[in-house]
Amino acid sequence: MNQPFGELGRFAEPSLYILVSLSAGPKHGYAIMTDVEEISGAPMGPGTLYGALARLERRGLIEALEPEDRRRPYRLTGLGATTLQAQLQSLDGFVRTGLARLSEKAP
Amino acid sequence: MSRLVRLYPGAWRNRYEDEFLSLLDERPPTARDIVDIVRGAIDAHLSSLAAEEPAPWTHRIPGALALTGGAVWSAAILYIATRSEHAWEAMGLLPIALLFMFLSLPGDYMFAHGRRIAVVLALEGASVVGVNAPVWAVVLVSAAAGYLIALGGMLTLAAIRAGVGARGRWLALVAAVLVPVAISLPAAVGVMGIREGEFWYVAILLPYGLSWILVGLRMAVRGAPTIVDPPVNPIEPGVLSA
Repeated sequence: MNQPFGELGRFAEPSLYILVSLSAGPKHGYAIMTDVEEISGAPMGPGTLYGALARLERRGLIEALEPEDRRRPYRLTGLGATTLQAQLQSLDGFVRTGLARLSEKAP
Repeated sequence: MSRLVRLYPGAWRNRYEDEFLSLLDERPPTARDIVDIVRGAIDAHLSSLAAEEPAPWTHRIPGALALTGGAVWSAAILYIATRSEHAWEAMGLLPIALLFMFLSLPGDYMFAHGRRIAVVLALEGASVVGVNAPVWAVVLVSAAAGYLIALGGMLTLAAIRAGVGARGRWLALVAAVLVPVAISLPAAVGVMGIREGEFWYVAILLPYGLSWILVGLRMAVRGAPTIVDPPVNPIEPGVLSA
């Protein structure tokens, strides 16, 4: 994945899912987790979720809002939205190229 | 659940513990989640280590002082307990050990917790007055209270500074101060006699020195700002970066 996702190591893919989840609006940890499971079809562990959240927050891609009871919602920042858009466009180009090549090879 | 969260570094817990526990309450972790949490904790430790800038050498001074105080105290107690002749001369080392322990406390910490320290000093002053009271029971209670406040208070303040959690601080206070005082009281009121050559009562002072050694080691590893250093927030979110 491109920068800054490349720096995130094993948290790159979970981070992308989290950003996509937050692009629909602020969510707290449990809501992100269930939403990501719905999007990706695979469960995301709590350790992975918070490892990714800490990194995204540190990089200014998401920000924490005031806690509601013990839950703390997060939302996408402007930088986060721009980064996500660039990342998705890059993936979109990658997917199109891959599909086009496959269709060229098809008998 | 909270046991799992304790695997994470202190800085991480200060920032995320509440919401993380709330998440685990809403979705109790499966075996797979537990493995994921342990992995996340290891990762949090490694990433915070990588992100932390090395502390200036002056941050090691308080820990070294606490460690020295604990070592001098323990060595003096062990010497008294194992030597029969002239052993009590080593008692002179205990005030020196206390001085080292006390000197490990100053710095930005003393300014930040000035009110708490003023209360401790006031209570200690009251106990000194009480020790000179004409009623023997007041003298005894004041002496025990003075010991608890001075030694227990110093150890607690050092433990807070070293980042020891509430449970660890209580454990140290009970093992190193409350139990020795409780054991010593019968001897002090004459229920149990102390005969020459019996050093069991000396050995009960050893946990205090050992506690200071542990607190000093932790303080030295974590680093604690001194009076010459600018104030540092120990839970700066920056330490959580990858």
